[in-house]
Amino acid sequence: MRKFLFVFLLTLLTAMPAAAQKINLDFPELAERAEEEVEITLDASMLRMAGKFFSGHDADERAVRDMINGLSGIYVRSYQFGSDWEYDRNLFKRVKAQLGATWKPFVNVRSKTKDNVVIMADMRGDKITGLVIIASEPREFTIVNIDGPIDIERLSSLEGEFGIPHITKERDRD
Amino acid sequence: MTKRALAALLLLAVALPLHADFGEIARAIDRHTGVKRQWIPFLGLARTVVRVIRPEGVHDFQLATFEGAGKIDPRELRGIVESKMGAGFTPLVRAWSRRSGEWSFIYVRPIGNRIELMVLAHDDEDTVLVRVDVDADVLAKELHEPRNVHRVARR
Repeated sequence: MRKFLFVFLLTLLTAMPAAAQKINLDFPELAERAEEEVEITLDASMLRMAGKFFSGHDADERAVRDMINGLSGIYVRSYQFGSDWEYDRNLFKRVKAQLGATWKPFVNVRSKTKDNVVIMADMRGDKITGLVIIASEPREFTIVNIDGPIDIERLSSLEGEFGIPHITKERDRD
Repeated sequence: MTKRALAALLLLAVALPLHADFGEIARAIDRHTGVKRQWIPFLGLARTVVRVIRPEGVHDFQLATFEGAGKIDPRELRGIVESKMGAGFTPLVRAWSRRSGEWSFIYVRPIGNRIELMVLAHDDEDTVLVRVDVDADVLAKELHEPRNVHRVARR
């Protein structure tokens, strides 16, 4: 019995880091208060299909397609509100609480007047295997979860695709 | 002749359940208070033509329109669609504007190299339910060129 328990625990410990971490991005109270809400869900099979939208002729598009094909999912939730700060400003903490020890802050831009952007990366060694992007403005809250191995140099090419907001470009404009 | 009729019946019996979900959803929405299904003349004929010709990679489509701006709770209709749609469909886009009262739910099911899309959309007084079975490669090619996107949207 003890042997069985030992093997069971060992199996569990081995399996746990490999299992995909499902992050809950759905906050019903946000949807209730929002004037506009958009949810985009692209699972692995849909991403394979979406990969076809990028031609193999152009090197950049080929690179993006390869990255998309390696992903397990892209999930976007975006909410717009009628007045400022109608939502809980500490929502970020609730998302962060779900993330394991491998998740590290990658980008953290705080502003009292403009939008705030927080990017958390799931670091496995020197590889990024997941990203959570939270962009918040007084009247808008967007959360994106990209699940799967990510080439950070090519990440910006996904901006504007699949509902992922423009982050670097808007920031460059500012 | 009997053999041919039997084969046709068998084929129909096998083929029908594949798209039975659309009819069930349409009927369930029709039973919903506040909306009434509109009859579209020659729609069956158009569907047959599409199934034979397959224009722009479209293998099949079904369409149901509903009129009425009664008290429609999108969550309720979303529940109807999600409970009655066939296996394999996953939500792709859910957009809802409480400001304008417009909402749309798009579900997708990959079938080999084809994509089956189920769209339920509502604006002021109309609710539309569409199912499209389209060739993914053709759709990808069409949407890749911005000019084609414009052309497809206008159609």
